[in-house]
Amino acid sequence: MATNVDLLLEKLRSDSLAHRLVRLLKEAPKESWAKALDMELQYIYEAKLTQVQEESDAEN
Amino acid sequence: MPKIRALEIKGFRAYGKEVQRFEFNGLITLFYAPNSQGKTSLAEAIEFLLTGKTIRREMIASAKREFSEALRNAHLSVDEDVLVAAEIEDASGDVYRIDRRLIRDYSSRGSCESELKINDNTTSDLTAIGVQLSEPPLEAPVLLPHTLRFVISASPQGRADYFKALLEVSDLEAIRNALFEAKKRIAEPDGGDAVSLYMRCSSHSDYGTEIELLKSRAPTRSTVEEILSNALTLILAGHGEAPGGFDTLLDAAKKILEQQRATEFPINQLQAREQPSWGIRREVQSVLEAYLKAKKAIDEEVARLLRLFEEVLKIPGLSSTEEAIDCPVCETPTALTPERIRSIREKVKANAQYAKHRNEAEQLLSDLHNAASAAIMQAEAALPQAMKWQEEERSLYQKTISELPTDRADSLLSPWSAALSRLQQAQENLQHEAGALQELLGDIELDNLDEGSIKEIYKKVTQTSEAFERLIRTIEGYREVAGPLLGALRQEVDHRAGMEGWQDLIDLCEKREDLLTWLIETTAYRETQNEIEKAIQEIDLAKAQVLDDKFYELSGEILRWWNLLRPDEPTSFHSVQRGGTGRRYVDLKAALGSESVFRDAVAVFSDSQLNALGLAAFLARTVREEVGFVVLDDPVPATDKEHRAYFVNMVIGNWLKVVFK
Repeated sequence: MATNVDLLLEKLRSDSLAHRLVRLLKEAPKESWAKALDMELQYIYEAKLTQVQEESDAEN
Repeated sequence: MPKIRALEIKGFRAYGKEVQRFEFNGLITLFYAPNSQGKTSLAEAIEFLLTGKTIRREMIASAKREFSEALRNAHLSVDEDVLVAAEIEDASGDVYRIDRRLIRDYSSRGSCESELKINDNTTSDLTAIGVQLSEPPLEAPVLLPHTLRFVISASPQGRADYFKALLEVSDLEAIRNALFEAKKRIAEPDGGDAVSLYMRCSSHSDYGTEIELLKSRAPTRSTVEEILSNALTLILAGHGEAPGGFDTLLDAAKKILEQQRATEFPINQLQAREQPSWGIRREVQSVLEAYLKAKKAIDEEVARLLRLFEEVLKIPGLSSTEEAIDCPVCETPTALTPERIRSIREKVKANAQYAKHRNEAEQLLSDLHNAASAAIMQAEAALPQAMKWQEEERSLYQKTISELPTDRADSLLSPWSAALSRLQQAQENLQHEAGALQELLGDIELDNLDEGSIKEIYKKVTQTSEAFERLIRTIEGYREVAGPLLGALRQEVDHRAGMEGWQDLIDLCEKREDLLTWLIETTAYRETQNEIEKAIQEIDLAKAQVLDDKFYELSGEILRWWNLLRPDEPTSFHSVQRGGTGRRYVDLKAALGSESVFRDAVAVFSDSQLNALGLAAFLARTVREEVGFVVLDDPVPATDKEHRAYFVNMVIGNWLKVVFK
């Protein structure tokens, strides 16, 4: 039987950040959610930082 | 599905110190009695057995105090146990004895405490024998008059929580909340001083709007310099033609600001200047002692004839001879035996060591002398020029300082004066110690050096070194104390000269690399936050769709029980729907008449209808969660005779049929 999270994932675009984050939480035990999310969001921020830095360097 | 086969109650609410035992052998057990005979206490005893609490207290939040000592029979001695026990048959037909003993009753503020056992083994819940509780707040399948109305009377948020727990979608809410909280935990870029400067500059009346553009433009070095140049041009507008180029504009702004300040007050003269550095070598003792040791090792006569010996040793073939040869100096026959040549070589070698140590000692004494002179000069160069103010200058400038806003002048001036005095004292101390060292070094001759004079030199070097370090610490202390005074003075002087905000802009220009780094980090942070926010919105939307699907199913289940309880009524239950995203609101809709007109059930239902709706929702839940038993205490009010009949004739039989298939 499909779980609520499966139902939620069905409603989200599979290439979206929302889908990626919900899938991450589906795969992690609930007590590790905060840690898993913190790592993932930090990774997203650092990737964004690299991108903005590179764009800035290119302009310079 | 588990079933309760027997129940024992002792000392709980209406039940006294004798154990009361009830056995449940059929599909239905009916308790019938006049008022105040313990029917509700029995239902609450089962609730306590399953959950360890009474939901009545949780639901009447404003009256927790009134539930103090609510579980123990009021007439029972405190020594008597309060106990609810049951024999429960699990799905495999095995029967277990369950005991829950009250350890501490409710107090005016605190919760109660109890101990639960299965077959005499302590446990925290009954999942091991298949008894699964529902999500809070209504965890037990026990319907009491106060819980019956909960669905209707709860706050909008309470009702939303109840239905979401009923649909078991709390996990979706937990996902959304975990993401929302994680988004808040991403640390905002710090940026340090550059950010404080940016904040101050962006609120400046002349160039603030220009600086604010930094946040909306792509963070590049050329953008930062372009915007800062525009701001510099704005402040320089009233001071002749602004030069082109960022560096030129910045230099011009600095120069004009310094000039204007100098006409008002010589602020720079209050600043400590160069940071002095101490160049004295610490190995004074070891170098001088090595020299003294080498000096003792050498013969004075050998030292006198050293050049002669060195020339002799250069004679070709001398080193390898195995026979005595004539002395080339005095021509004594066979005077230079191999042993004598070896002896001369050792003496020359010892002398070479001596020469090396003497050179090092000479260099050290010379370095010490120079370092002592440099220390005095460096101290002079490091100290603020204000220390040299003559009386006339001092009183003039102190007048300006005292004209600062009153509360600040008092608090800034006296610590600064004290710090200046300490600086003066530290400088004099250094001058004294360095002078004494120079004097001692002037009296020292290497040929007369002994242990006593080495100790004396070391002592003076140490004292000078300590005086120097004390001066450095005093300068650091002075900088800390003078900082706020200088800041206040600059503000005052800039205010008088009409140049407020110039220093901030100049400082921001100087820290433009830090500013650029912060702008890059802030842009990345903002874009990350936006992406996560968008993801949360998408999850909210998807969650709402899941809720809609689930509410549709639940509405059908509630409607089935409603139609059994209240058949053929013109106003009937229609559906459970989310309000907005469903996070805060869940609406119960009623259909009015045969036309498709819908209103909130809470607003249009009669008291009796609301009661029926609560009961229908409860029954739908028990079916949905596949509980093995339910306890119903007065499910239909005694006054509602018509619908009691429906309940008995239609609902109970249907419920048994549905639950037990």
